[in-house]
Amino acid sequence: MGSEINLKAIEHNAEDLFFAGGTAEIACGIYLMGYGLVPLVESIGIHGMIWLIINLLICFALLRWGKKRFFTPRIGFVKLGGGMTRNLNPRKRRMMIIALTATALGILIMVADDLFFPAESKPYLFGKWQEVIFYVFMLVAVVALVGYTSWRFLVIGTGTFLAFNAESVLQGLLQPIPGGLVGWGIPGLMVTVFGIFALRRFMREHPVLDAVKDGEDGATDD
Amino acid sequence: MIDVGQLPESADIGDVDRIIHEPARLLIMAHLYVLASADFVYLMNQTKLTRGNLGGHLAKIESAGYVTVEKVFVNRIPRTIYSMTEVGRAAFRTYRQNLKQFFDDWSE
Repeated sequence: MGSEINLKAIEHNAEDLFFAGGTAEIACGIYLMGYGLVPLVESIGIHGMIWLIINLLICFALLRWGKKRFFTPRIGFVKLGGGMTRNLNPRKRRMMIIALTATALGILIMVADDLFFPAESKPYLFGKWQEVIFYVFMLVAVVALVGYTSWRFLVIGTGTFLAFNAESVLQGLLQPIPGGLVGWGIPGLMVTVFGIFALRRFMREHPVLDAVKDGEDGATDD
Repeated sequence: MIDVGQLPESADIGDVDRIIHEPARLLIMAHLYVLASADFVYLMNQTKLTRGNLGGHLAKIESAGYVTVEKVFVNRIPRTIYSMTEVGRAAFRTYRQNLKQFFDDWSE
């Protein structure tokens, strides 16, 4: 029997296990790659926003399938929440508020810019800084989400953002009209590859449980 | 040896919930308290209890009304999902409070 009874440790362990396995990274990576395809799908007549929503749904479906296919037979089924959300500590609540506010502000800037200054009547509302401001807000959102979820995301989330932002920020500073979204494909591919390696390691370290192999979950019938 | 006469009246150890006061059941309750729900496999993995042992303890906790059990089939494999009831959550908080009170009141 595991001798440690520490609610915080149990909570962290459950969170770490839930985000382990690389499936979250693969889904994120595919979403980023999908983001990079926006100019392509727009060129064939599909609205970029519709594509992004479809892309998001695909990634959620993929994440669910991945958890079911790889995670559950090895670790078991677990649903986060319960005492954690009931007793959400102030730091996590603060992080979530920061992430949501930053995301909302970032999106607001992009939408305001598109609405009031369509492509034909550039310059942008915020001039060449528009995209820089957007990405700064997005970076704040990612860092805050890292604080909310797991520090593993620090490497993946901020690493990806900084790698891409280096180019994007420079584009924003040097060019009035950036076409930076195309660049999402490369970091997306990197995150996906990282996720595949993480998944392989996870599968090696956590073989399918005997009870599951036998076609049962081990619980005794009453 | 503890001199029982030293214990203050407010710290009545008899108030402690004996369903929860067993290490294995406390561990199971602790897991289910912080999670929305978990299946048998997850609990077995995390508590390192054997199938029979875990099943026995879960049955006791369930009979006390502290957890609910849902049996579902996923890809023709049965999955037994446990989640803590409001009664269970309240009992867990009371247990914690009682123990805390017991040690707080007990001047060494």
